[in-house]
Amino acid sequence: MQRVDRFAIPTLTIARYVVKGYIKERIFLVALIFAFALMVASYLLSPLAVGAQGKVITDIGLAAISILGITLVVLLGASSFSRERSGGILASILAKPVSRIEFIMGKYVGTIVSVSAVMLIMACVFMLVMVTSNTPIHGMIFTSVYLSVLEMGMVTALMTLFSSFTSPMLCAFFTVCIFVCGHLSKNLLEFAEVFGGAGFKLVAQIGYYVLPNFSFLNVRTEAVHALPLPDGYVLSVSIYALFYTLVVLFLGGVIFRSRDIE
Amino acid sequence: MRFSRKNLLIGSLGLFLMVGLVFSTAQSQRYRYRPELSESLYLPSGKLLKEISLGYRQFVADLVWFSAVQYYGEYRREDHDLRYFISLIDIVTTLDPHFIFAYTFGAVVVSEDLEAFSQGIAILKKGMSNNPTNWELPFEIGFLNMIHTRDMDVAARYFDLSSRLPGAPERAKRFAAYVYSLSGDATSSIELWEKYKEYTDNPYLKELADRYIARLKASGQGGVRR
Repeated sequence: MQRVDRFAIPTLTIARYVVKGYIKERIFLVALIFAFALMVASYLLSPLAVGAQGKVITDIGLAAISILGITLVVLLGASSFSRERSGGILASILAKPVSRIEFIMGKYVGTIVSVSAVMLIMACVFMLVMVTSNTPIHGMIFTSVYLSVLEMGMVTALMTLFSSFTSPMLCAFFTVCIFVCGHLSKNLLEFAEVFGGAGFKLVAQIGYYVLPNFSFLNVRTEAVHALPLPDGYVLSVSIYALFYTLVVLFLGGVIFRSRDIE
Repeated sequence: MRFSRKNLLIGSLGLFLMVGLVFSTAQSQRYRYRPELSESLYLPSGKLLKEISLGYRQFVADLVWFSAVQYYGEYRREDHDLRYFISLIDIVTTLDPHFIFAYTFGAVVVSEDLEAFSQGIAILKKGMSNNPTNWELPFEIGFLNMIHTRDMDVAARYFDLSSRLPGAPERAKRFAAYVYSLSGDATSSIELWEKYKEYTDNPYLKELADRYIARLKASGQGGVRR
């Protein structure tokens, strides 16, 4: 128990410091802008949606929560490591009894908590808009928001991994590339099946399993049309997302340990 | 504030730029509407959009749906001949295969405005293969068959199928019975559209029915087809 505390306390302290930094950067303004934009969009676009108002409001709301969550992670996270490194803050933190793994975990937890809070506020505003526009709310909408948070968690882990060894610009670029590839990864297998030889199929299979499969975490179609998911789906993909995140953070920690910090 | 030569120069430059912006904005307005752009509308395939929209294909489907609705509105204003409407509906329903209203609205417009009955039915059959338990799609196939081919047996079969699917309202059953009672009658299309209006809840489909009734009345045919 003591050993857990010894790890958890520095991690949580760094996480708190990260959250405070993001609050100073006024990230919660994003939630306010979202609320305003969603309300305006739902009223302005409804007449254009001819017969599909409820669907359009649900689509826009769910897509906006996911897109803004991912954008926040990339914008905030990519530069945070380098800012601390260039200001000498990183060296002074690591001079204290804080290991590099604890630092990485603290950064990750801080980012996750901050962005999750923004996404939660956005989800509440979205529900309010749904209620005021008489759009039916059902359980799949909550599931979709939950899986969007998990997706954001995986992207944050990737961002943490890249920021441990590259510049902010490259970190943002790699994260966005992996995000795009992660949504297209299932096509790799189909592509290899149709066009590839044995070697290409093997490479495609490796690519498919190594890249994150974000399509697992996208149940927006089911949420919009209130379609059921297979039994055990949410549990299964949650476990997948958890392990993928932990493996990526572990790799980030290993790389960060081997880096020279001045 | 001192009116130095430098400030005067900066102020004059600012004023010049503002006037230039206002002038260039006003003079570019004459190019706002370019008919050749909407006529040769570039439409990527639904399958391509499905892949490049990443996980946000519902959202992209909505954007294409807005275009389809706007495009239909332009046709109603007699701006064009609706030639890309089928492609737009195909893209929307490929991106969102469960968007039932896109199938029904698209099929009615394609059958009535473009007078392409078989393509209208093809839209509904695509919907049925993607949503086999939905009652509205076979209902529409039954109705379009009744209006266009007057094949009451086929129409009745689809109404019957529709009435047996989950969530089908009582009116689907009543419509099936109504069609059976019609067999052989030379009922006017106007009457059938009036009946359709009674049976659909959707205000947009009711509005379309009103439009087709007005058109039939204006043409003076009464729309009797056997």
